[in-house]
Amino acid sequence: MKKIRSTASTVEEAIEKVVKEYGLKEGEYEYEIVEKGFKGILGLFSKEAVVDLTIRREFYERRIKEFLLGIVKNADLDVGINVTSKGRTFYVKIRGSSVGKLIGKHGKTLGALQHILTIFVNRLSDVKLNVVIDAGEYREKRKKQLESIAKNAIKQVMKSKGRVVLDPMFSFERKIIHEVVKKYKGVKSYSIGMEPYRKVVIEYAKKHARMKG
Amino acid sequence: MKKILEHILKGIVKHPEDVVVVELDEDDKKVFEIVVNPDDVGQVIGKDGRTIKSIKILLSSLSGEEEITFRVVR
Repeated sequence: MKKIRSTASTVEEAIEKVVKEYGLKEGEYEYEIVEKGFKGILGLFSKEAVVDLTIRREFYERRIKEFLLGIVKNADLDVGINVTSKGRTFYVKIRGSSVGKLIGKHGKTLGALQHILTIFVNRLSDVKLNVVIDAGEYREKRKKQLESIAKNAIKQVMKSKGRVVLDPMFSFERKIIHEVVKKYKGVKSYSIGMEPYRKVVIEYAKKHARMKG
Repeated sequence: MKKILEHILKGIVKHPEDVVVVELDEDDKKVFEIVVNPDDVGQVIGKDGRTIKSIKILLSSLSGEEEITFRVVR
């Protein structure tokens, strides 16, 4: 996920330099030797060793977990944390009796925590990484809830041939609504208003008259 | 709370060694004065203040304290 070129008098030293700087553990990096290096004869013809070291996803998974543990431990929360990743996205799952404090009203705290973790992990990486966090399956449940809100609104719109304005939602929640609406013909959706009060409007879409020639 | 704030700030800045947090009580309000390296001020505040706001939301949720003020000292 991050590639670092390192130079030293030997290959071992070149690797050690990066391992120490980042606090890498076994299995969290791999390397390629670009130039083996040569000690030289009486200081002549010496060549530096060059290594390309790549930091693996395991490093980022551990660091995210440790960073989050530092937060929950200081807050005396008893929770379990699990971090996995796929591609450039890291999935953080939090379980335990005190997850409520991390979710907050309407998932507000969870959104804040996700933003902080995203900033944290991107400071350690060259490529843009994403973090998706869920606590006590809040997101999963909320997604189902949003899908049913969307479906009910669509039914209403089809019947009245009018429009329905939903309650304010976060951007990722509005996205879920838009995705549901897209699956239906005869309705369209868009967002209105300013954050954090931006809302989705679901509207009856008249059939477009087809022009020939 | 001061510990958590320090932990978060040190995690998101380029110069963790320069992070200083001072906790104050002003008229029953919790105030945190934050000092970071000038290079990191933008990172701590974030686009449209989103990062500092997120930290505030998290801290007030964890502590149950509603009135928290952050002051990023330049």
